[in-house]
Amino acid sequence: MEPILRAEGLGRRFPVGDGVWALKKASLSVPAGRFVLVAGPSGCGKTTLLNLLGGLDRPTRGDVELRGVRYSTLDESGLARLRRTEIGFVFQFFNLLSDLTAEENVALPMRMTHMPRDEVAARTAMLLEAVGMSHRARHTPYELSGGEQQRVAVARALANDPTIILADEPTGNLDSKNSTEVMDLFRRFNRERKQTFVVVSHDPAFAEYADVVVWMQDGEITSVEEREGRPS
Amino acid sequence: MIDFIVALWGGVKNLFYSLHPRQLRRFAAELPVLTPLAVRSVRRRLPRYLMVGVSLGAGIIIFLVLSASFRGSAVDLAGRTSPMDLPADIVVLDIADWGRAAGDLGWVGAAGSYEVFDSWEAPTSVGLRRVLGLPEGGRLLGWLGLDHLPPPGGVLLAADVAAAAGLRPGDTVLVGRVGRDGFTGRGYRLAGLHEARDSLFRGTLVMSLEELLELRAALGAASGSPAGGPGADSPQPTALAAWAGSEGTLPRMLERVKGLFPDATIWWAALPGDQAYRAVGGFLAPGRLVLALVFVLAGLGVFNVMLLSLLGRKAQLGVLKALGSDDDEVFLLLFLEGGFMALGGSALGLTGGAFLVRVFDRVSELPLLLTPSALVWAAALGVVSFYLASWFPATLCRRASPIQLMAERRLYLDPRSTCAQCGRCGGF
Ligand SMILES: Nc1ncnc2c1ncn2[C@@H]1O[C@H](COP(=O)(O)OP(=O)(O)OP(=O)(O)O)[C@@H](O)[C@H]1O
Ligand SMILES: [Mg+2]
Repeated sequence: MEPILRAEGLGRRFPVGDGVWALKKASLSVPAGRFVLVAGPSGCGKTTLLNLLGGLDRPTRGDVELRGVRYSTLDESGLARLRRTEIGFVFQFFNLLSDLTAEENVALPMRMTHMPRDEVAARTAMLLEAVGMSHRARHTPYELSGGEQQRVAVARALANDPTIILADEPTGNLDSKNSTEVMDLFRRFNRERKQTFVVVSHDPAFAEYADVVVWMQDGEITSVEEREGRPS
Repeated sequence: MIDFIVALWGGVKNLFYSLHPRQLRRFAAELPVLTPLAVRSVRRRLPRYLMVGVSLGAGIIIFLVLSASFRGSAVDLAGRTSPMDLPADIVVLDIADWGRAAGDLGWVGAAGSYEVFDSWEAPTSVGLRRVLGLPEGGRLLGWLGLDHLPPPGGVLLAADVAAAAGLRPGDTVLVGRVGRDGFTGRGYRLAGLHEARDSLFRGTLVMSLEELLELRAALGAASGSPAGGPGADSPQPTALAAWAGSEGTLPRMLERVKGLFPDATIWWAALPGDQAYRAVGGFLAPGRLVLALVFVLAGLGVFNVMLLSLLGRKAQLGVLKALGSDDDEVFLLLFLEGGFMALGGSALGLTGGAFLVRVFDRVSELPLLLTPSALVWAAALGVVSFYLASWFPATLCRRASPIQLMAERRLYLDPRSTCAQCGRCGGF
């Protein structure tokens, strides 16, 4: 299958001291509908890779291509527009805007694309329903548990029906019960809606149902493990 | 250092760029999305924002009250100076935009600076008199206690002079000059009497400006000088007081008067009212400095709150960028937040200031005079101080990458070049 996301020779060097190559050279293709897990020891460059894939950071070398659009051809606001419409993010911390309610957080990406109000409202309700958070729609993040916040964040990541969802340790801050719930959500959206995921996680539970596991070490991709016949 | 200056210059360019119509249209399109966010943010930080709004408002109030009292005292002081005779051939006066109101007429009239008129010492049939030429419709008439000039061929005479000379309206008054050929003059009908309320015009003979000029030209021409303009032999005007709208017009007016009367002694800026005004003006200069400081302080308040508000939620703004808000939109968001408090503060300041000026004017001995220009200045300074104060924090944020913000790293004016590496300023 044609990959929708492709990274070629991606490298990122931080200008600290003599320069630190957080990511040396990474090439990766993600076909549509796949669930890709990025794993590896702490400090191996997983977050750096994900940030580059999401257009949150610019690579020192190499390029990323999403649905045929090369990031290097986009300026900052072009990249922002791409993030707005094509990419959903779930992070470990600071996911939700604390000034806004759960509902408003989910609606925000749609408002940013100037979607009509009633459509936004309908879709927000649908997404909150899907992540089981309808009953907390009017609550602010302070009034939600970590797991609940993460579920709202998943709903928000799905808001504009993105090409791909990138998640950096989405369960890293949750207890096992909440982790399972969030993971189940990921799985459901992947299986039922063929939503493409790239998830960075230490959690071995993710490995169980990932289609592809990308192993990293010292800023390099050491192996890409395709998993056929995963349990569905 | 050079990088920093370049970055700063880029920011300044951006400051103006954000006022470009194209950019404003873009901002307008994003307002429906960003306004609710800004409103929410302000509501969440209401006490802090209120305090800044109030201090901006207080700045404006102080500005208005101080400038009104400066103005008021200047007018008052000028009004208290005693009138004097016009001492030179030509007096050119230049008073700023105050004193035009009917109530200010007293001191203006006393200073002889109300409007253009011509005054000439001339031998007349009732003795050596100051002949005044006034323009029709001039407001000086009112100040002389008259509502119109005499009809053509007529003059007005001070009531006391007429009584002493035994003249009555309808009698003829001769006005002229004593030359080599004896008395040359013209007869005028005494059309009426006037009671000058000020020594400056006491005992004067009043006619229309056109008639006075015509008379002088005729008498000048009779003694052999070119007709029309005042020649060497022609009687020079003893006084010509003129009103200029603003300080900027004074040099031009002086130029013109010098051209018209090349031999006359031109005197300006030394009449009591004018001197008083200038004295108060000298007092105004440090006063203006104080007023400017008030705005700098209010601006620093806005700056601080905006900076704190930004630094306290780097991560949040980072998420906003990650979600796809572009740099300009985040910039606009912060600007809107600042704008709300500036708007509230200005409204508070302008209404509160105007109200306090009225109250002080009632209760205090010194009059306060609030000019429209002071209100405009206060509003403009409020807007400018807010704009400059919001600019820096908003620019820091505009230029930071989403990662930088989400990881709560330090922000530099220029995150990409060597500015961030130098870091001597420590970043924010
Ligand atoms: N802004 C930065 N400046 C300097 N070095 C950085 C920066 N960001 C990351 N690094 C370095 O790059 C390397 C990779 O970092 P990265 O955050 O990608 O690791 P990671 O695999 O996500 O680790 P973890 O599993 O602990 O989250 C680390 O050694 C880190 O110290
Ligand atoms: Mg990481």
